[in-house]
Amino acid sequence: MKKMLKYSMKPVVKFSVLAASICFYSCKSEKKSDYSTAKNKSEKLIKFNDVAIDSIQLDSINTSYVGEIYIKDNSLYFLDSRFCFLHEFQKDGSIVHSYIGQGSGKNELPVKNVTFFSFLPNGGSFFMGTGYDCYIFNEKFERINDYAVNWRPTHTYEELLDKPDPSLPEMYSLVYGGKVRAHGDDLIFPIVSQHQAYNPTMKTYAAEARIFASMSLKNGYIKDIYGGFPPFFSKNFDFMVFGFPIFDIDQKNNYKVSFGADSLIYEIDDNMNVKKSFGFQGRNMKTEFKNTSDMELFNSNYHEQSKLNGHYTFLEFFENKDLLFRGYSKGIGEASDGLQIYKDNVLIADIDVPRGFRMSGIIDNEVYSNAFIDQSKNAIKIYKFKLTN
Amino acid sequence: MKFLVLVVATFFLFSCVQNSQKPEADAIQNINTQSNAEIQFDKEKVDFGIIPQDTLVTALYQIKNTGSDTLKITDIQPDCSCTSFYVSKFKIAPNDTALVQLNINTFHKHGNIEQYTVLVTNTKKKFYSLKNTAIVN
Repeated sequence: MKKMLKYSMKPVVKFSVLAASICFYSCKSEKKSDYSTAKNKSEKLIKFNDVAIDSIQLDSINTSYVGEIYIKDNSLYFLDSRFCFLHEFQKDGSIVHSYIGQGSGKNELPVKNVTFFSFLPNGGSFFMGTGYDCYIFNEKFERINDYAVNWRPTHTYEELLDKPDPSLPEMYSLVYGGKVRAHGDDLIFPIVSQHQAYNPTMKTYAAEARIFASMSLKNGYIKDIYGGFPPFFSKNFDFMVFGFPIFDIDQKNNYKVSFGADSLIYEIDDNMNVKKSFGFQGRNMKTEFKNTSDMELFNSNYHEQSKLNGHYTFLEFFENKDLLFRGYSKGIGEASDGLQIYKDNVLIADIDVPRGFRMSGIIDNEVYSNAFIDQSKNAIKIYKFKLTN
Repeated sequence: MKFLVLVVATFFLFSCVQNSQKPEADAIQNINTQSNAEIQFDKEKVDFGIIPQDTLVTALYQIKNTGSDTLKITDIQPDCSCTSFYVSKFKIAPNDTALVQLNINTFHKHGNIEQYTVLVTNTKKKFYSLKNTAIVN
């Protein structure tokens, strides 16, 4: 009887091990970036050294003066993060219409602060509140879905204190202030672990951590966490204070990735194979970074370092023009920020732009900036300049 | 035996896929924006200048109902857990005034801080923003 039981348990044990293995590995991420395959090819062929920067002022609106500019179908949109209105403007700054707004109505947004926003490829809009609560609106600004981000946790915080695992989604959170990208049916965003036992103040972080997450736009499930830091950050621990990625994705799922404190731009395929690197450091950037080994001080150190030192602030890729824009701040004492323009991976311009310049998009061959807000004058200004051929 | 297989498989399946929870956004009260209440602030911004870390500073805003209906403050939304508030009254009769007190704790703050507190009311504009700024040393 004992022998029979022993034999009959075998398939059960085998199945259990198989089931456990499948489920264990489906929760863990093994998709890390391989930078050893990257070929560096940095070329410079400067075509212009400055641009004529113009500005437009948006029509007066009732606003919290906290928000950002987005571009869709040749229109400018100001997302008021606190009042939750999406104000549409013509490219000359005249108001067209205001949509959504904070409230509990069926087509309103029941949040007090929008932390992430993106237009969707189908014309709709994605909003995230402060508690990982997500809301999807269709192209008519009707609310059609809402859910919370589901990191699919399999371990408690305490379990991870004993054994932190950088391949587990629940180790991470979104990088606040980072940009999210809607790509196909997914939302892609940079992630960071702020776990007590595993975070960017630790020297092993740069070698092991994942940098991106993909989330299903249908239900908020985190589908995967992937990518990794270039070896540059393992060799330069102090630079990790500006280690967060800025990125864009083309139609063939190729990522263009740069990092706050690394002068290179990496082209990475969907499987996180790094195909090439290119790029030059911005002009007059101060780079005397200082990281901290205390996670409680990481954020305040980041703010202090961002005043003193320069770092790359945004990256936008326009596939139809094969143009890549990368912005940077220069650090203390500099009157302007910089903007690099690469065409076919070749640097063709490195120009001065107003401090705080971010890029919101291109309309009719003109580059539009983010919102420059002056509450004392009730004014929202946008810079723009024409792209020369 | 089949039961044991099922239990093991189910356990591992659900250890990976948890329930998708609905977000728990705070309920925002429906308000009557057709009222003739109107709001006037004595100021909409307070700059504390340079202040030390780990202190509590207070901004006082006086609001007056310059309309003909009762002014209702239906929600106050600081953008930071470091800000608490006190409102002397949430329903303000025409020509009456009220005080909104915002207390900002600079514990763990450093450098330039800009904080916005949103007031939700029953006026036609509905939303107002109060801004507090400081440099924390």
